[in-house]
Amino acid sequence: MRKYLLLLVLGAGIFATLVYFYIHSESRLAHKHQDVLQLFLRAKTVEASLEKDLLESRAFLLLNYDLLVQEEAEVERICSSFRSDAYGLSGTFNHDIDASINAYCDAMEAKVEKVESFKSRNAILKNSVSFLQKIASQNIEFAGHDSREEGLRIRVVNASLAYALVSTADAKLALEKAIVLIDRSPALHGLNELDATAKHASKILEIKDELDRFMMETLDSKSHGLLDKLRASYFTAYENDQKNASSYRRLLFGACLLFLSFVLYAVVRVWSSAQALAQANTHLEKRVEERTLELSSSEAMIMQQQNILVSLAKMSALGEMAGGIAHEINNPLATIKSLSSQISEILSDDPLDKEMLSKMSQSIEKTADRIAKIVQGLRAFSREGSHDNFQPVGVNYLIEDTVSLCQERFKSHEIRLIVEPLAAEVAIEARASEISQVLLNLLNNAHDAIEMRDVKWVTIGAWDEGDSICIHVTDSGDGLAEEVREKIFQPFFTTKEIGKGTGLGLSISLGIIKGHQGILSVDEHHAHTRFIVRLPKHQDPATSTAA
Amino acid sequence: MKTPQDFTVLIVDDEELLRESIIFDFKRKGFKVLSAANGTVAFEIFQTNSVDLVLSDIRMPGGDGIFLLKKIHARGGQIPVVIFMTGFSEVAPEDVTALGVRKIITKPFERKELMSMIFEMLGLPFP
Repeated sequence: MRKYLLLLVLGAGIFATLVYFYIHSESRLAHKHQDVLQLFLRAKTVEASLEKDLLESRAFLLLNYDLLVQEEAEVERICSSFRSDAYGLSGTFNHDIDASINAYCDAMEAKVEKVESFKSRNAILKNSVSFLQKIASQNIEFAGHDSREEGLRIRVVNASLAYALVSTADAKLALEKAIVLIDRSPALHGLNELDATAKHASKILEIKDELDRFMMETLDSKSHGLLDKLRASYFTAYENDQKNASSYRRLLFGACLLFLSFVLYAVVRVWSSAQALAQANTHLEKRVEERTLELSSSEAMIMQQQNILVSLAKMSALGEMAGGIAHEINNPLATIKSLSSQISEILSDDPLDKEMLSKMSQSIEKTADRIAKIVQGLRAFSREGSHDNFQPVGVNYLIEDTVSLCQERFKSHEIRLIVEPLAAEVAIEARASEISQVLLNLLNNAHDAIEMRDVKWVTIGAWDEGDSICIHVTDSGDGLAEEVREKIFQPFFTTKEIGKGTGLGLSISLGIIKGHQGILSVDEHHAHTRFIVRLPKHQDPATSTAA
Repeated sequence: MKTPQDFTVLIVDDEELLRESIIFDFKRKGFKVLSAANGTVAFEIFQTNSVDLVLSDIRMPGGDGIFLLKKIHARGGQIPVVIFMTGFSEVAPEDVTALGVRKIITKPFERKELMSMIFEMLGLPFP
């Protein structure tokens, strides 16, 4: 789900970038196009103005060239703009446009050069015309002086002015003839005024053609056509750009569609993921519920099996003890039987040995008590006590009870069983039958461990530690190897030969002691094999539960 | 004609009250009685005294009945030995018979049966 959100954000970023570039390029193109159109307009305008002002200058022999100068500058600016924008006109370099710009600008620059030539010649013409006009006005003043010199002069001035004003072939011919006439009259040579007039007239004749040529060349310049060609090139490129832009737009539209479908897909995926997740959660909850149920039932089964195992272990221990206990009971039974039989025999004696009778009956009672104790120990041991309440029970009482169950077994294998009870009885809160079972298990294990040794003794004792009581079972063995010590409390671990031990005794014992909030451990620092049962004197009712 | 006074009986049992009770019976019948609480002590007594019959328990701490039987058997005498058993397979009857045991008595036993058996074994007329 997070993956899709990330993709969504990424997609949105790309989309925004695309849109930005699109808008940016669109507006840039539009601006550019406007600028270019403006430039074309300016070019067209300046060309027209230039021609108009040129014609005016020519027609009125104006010497004020301010407008022309401005127009020349404008031409220069426009060309510089065109040249510098060769790349920008259509966004990419275009050979057609570049060539058109060069052609147009070259033509325009040539035109400006011609205007310059025109300007200088126009000034010369104006100068000559002005001189001749002055002469013409003098002629009017001197009217009436009919001399050849004057006639010639008037003829030249008139022809010159006429030619200057209207450049027909006849006017030109008349002027040429007038000049020739002066040239052919040596008598007239040396006359300043006539010479000057002839000189100016010749100048006009000389300049006028040039001037008109420059003007005509300027007016005939191909620049119009070239500008139109440039425009055509530009528009072709512009149309191409527009086409490209539209395909770019289509691309963008496609990208948008793609993105939109991606967003839709992502939303659907996220939604279906959420659905699936919710479903999985429900499923999981159901599974957890089922598993919990299964677990609790298997836990109950394990508990049940454990109880069975405990019972089996107990039965096995009981079986082992049975012989010893039978012997243990049979001995006092034999005593009682013998004594009671003797009493009934003595009763017929005369005199009656009352002292002996009393002694015998006391012996019977004592022996019967012994049997009672064994039976009691057996009863305490054999009952299933895991659901009993914790009851105060004497530690010494527990030890003695347990010892009475296995004393005979120890005796038969000549194992010295040493009991070291507490100096004063201390009561602990415990399930007596369970603790008795643990102690019996430890005693039996000790018995089995040293049965075949030369030095055979087992000690069971206890000490008070204030809040708790420690009961130890120590045998004459040399302690446990580390690898044995590590596994000794694991179920089904046994060092006994096959068929002899279930491997459950100690693990069951551990469970029982834990159920008492106690600790069952091996004293690894002791020189001999020693197990220690540490039990709290009081059970915390909040934490103690049925084992 | 021999009488119980001519016989010395060695009674071995760690069960004190039972031992006393048996001793009482044998003394009452007129036997000379020696006693011990285990096999080791019993064998010492056996060695230093002339014993005509041994009555012994099997299971005893500090030298059991088998120990005593083996010791007596090793001496090669023809002393009749009677042993007590509880009947809970402490030892196989054929094993002890091989060691010269004449009779096996199971606890708890009938006093009169035991006594008549002893009298018979010793060739005494049972009163």
